[in-house]
Amino acid sequence: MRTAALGALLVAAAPALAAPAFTAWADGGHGGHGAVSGGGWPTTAIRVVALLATAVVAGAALLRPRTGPPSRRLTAAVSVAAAVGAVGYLVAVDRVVLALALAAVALAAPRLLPHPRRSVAVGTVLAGALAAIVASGSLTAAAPGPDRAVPGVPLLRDVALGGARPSILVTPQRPGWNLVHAGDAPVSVGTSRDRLSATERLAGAPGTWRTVWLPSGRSTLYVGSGGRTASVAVDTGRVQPASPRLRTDGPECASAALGALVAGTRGADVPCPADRLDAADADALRATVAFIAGRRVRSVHLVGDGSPRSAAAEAVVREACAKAGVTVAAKAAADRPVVVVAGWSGADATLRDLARGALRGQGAYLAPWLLTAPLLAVPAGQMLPLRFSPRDPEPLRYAAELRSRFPDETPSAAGFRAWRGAADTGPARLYSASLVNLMPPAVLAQHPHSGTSWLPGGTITVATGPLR
Amino acid sequence: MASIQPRSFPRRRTPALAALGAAAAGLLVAGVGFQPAAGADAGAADAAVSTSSFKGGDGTDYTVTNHIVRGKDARGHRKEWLLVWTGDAGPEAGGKGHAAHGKTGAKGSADPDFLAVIDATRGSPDYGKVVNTATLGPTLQNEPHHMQYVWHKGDKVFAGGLLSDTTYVFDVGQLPKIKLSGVVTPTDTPCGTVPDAFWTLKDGTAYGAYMGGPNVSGPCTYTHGETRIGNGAGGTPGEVLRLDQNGKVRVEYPAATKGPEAETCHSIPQLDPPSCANPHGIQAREDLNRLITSDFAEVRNLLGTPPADFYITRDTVRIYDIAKRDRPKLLSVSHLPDGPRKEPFGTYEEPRVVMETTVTNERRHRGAFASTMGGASIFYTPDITDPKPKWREVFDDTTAFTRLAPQLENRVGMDGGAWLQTSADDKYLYHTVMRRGDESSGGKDTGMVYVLDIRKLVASGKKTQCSIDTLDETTRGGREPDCPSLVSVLPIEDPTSGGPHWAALDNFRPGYDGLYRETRRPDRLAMANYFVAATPFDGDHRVCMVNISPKQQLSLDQRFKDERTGHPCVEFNRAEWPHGATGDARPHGVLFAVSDADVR
Repeated sequence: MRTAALGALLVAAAPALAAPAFTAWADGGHGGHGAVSGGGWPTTAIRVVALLATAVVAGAALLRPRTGPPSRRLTAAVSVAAAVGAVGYLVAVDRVVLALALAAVALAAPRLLPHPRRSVAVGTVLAGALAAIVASGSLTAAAPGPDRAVPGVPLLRDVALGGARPSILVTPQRPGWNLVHAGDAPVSVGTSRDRLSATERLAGAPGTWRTVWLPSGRSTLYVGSGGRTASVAVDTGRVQPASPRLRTDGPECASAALGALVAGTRGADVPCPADRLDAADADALRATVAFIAGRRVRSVHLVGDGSPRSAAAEAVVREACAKAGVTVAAKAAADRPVVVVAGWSGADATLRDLARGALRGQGAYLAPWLLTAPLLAVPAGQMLPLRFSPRDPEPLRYAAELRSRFPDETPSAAGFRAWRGAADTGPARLYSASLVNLMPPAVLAQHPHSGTSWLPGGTITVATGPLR
Repeated sequence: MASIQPRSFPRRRTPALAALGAAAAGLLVAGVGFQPAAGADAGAADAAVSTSSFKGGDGTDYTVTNHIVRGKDARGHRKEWLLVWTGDAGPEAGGKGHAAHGKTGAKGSADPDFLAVIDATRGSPDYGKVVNTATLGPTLQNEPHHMQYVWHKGDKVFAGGLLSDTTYVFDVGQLPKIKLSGVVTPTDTPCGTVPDAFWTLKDGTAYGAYMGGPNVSGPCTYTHGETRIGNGAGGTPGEVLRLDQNGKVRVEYPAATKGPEAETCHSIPQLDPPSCANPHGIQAREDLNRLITSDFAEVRNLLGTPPADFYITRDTVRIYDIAKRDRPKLLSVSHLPDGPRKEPFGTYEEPRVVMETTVTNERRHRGAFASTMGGASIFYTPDITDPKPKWREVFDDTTAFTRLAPQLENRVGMDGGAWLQTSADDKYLYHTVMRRGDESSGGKDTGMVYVLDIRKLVASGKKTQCSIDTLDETTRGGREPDCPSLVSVLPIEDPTSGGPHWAALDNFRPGYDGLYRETRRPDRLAMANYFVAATPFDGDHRVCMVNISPKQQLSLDQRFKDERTGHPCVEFNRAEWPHGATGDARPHGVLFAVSDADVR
């Protein structure tokens, strides 16, 4: 009778103990929450079973002083649970010593059941271990890491596709059109397993991209590559729909979100940089115009686009030019600098025109937010006002962390600001950017870039002192 | 008996059991948080640390910090040193199949670049030991490139950072200790970028070649009021600098002509007037008042858009009158002639990508050589004082590769021919080649260093006949009697994409009194296997010593060993340095030097 009651108690208590851990571990199957490593649903199932078995063994051992000498049936049940738990530890716990220690303690429990004091000791150890795992899982569940789908917050995932684990970023993860960002190697994405579309290059942006329509609330995004397909749970929640300027300013917005996510913050509070003109950037533009005027340049050609930031920047540049006696000409000319205050997409088109000779100009003065490798790799004589050197330790650390989390990603001004959590306040200086490949194109084609440089294969160096 | 079993939970044991449980929990939590430490095999060596600093023109406090370790040599021998201008490999090391000690992830975003000081004293128990690493601050990712070609007593060392657009000037008078004498910052050279190589004059000043265009697109005004239009950093035109002994810029001089150069001088965006001025190699004959530079390429280019344009790579050599050292005057811009090979890419044709130039040294000789990285050939002009110097191809790298592997199809286009140096007595010419060309088939991708006998060539003066103008001559050497003869070829196997690139002749020899003296007949050279990681050509990051016999036979110095592996050549892919566990590094410029007190 007592045995039956104990069995019922254990059956009831074990799931209760294991539930929080299950909640934590069952989500996503990767990321290695708690003491176990990731590995998908099979591993998650093994972890949960191991937890349940641990709960059974620990409960039986701790209750031994109250239940009296164990029956054969109870001993057998505890032995089975201990064996299951031990196997589970060895399979699912990624620290070998820890797994062996837990397995040894669990396997010792049935033999120690006849001894109340030793039984309680073993039960305490197992309960402590269980509590630690549960607490770890619970904490993680209460404060999900950057990989967990949080409604309305950009989602960063590593997707298991056979031997590869490409990183993808879903931004803004809101109802409506979203951008899915992958590395340089395209992947296929979509909301239906049967209808996937390949990510592709977007003007001025690193990596590859695809717009995907996501419904409100939870749904599934499918990602395919090399004949394999994986699913990613997304949750757009019930928040405001996505920005309509997704393909033009979306990559810069995504870069900011990625910077915040890499830094360990959410990315939800990072505004899209193109939504407004930052005061420091406005000052930098004024200083750039003053520098140009100081070179006795009489006119500039100004290129913007329709974003709120660009419109405000155009106004700032026109006002500064008027003060400095520099004309803003509607047409470009060979002796006329080109000032670019568009977003990434518009700037890319302008720079390529300059490189081709389709647009004449005496160098391209870029707005500070155009600090991103794809724009600086176009040979157009780019300069831009920055308040930090991309060769300083902190920007290099950001670049390294970024590449560590999203391997093909190159740094950006927006990403650095979000990663840092604050804008730089130092004086702006003009920096010039160029590739320094030293190799003819036929050879370059064989060579992928790597490293932490803000401009892989090139350099961004200071060209002037502080601008006034 | 102790085996009595109580029926109830022993309350007095509760704290102990709780502690046990907590310990188990702690073990688990610790397990959760444990991550293997990156570079766990690393640890800084015991080193004497000292720092010197210099406030740059940009207001930055630049520093050099010595990390000098003790060697085994207790006998107090006078030392000869090998200086190796070295870049940190960064966290991407290991991605190219050669590095064993790369930093992982974000942990190793970047570490300082440094000047390594290696014991190069023959017979020393520390032969090959890295005795000092003088680390630079605060600028990271300089991409250390070249220094001057040869160091003489009293000279400073001029060392360029290709990507930081910065030149460092080191005082090496008290080796192995290094002091920082000066820094040429990017804002000190508004009309030029991408520093490459330097040539020191007898007064300790130096000329420098800056390959890239001005900091800012548009007109740039040079020291003496000349103005040239440039298309910006890394673009065109480059410039020639004259630096004083501490790196102060005395002169910025335009390498470009005032008027248009050839129509084949393309740039992106195109310059008007066009110019091919992207000086890389630089040497001078002070007795002849001539400076010579070789144009490499407009290093800022882009694959695909706009379409590849091989005319961005250069085929020109420039000669300047330096009678007034601070007022150089560009005398001529010569195009190297095309050769007999027909290549699939324009950049592989003989005269393309003129990386290096070297002058003859004897007073009776006035010639100079130039070598091409894309075209894999060596050119010669007998008189650099001629206002219209005539260049001719005198050797094709195919000849040397054929000597090494006659059974293979050796195609040399873009073989990475690099360092080129005459011996001080003008008898021999030494040349490093990074790899067999892209179009080769069979065999290993092997680099080499070879030596040519140039005595007949330089002796022929203006009556030079040698000219490689048939395919047969590209593989067998020139038919004319004054053509250089291939004396010795040493294959250098480098399993990576790169291979031997830069080198230096040992211009010192110990005298009877133990003091070192300069020699005109070098008996060894040092060589580094690294080019530029940002390009397709990296290297295995070894620095090797090559013996040169009296008969000019080249052989690897087996005694110049890595202090850790015991294998010949000093390995720059290593976990630890005297300055700490910063992992793999990239050796580029090399130079022999001796402390002032130890050299006559």
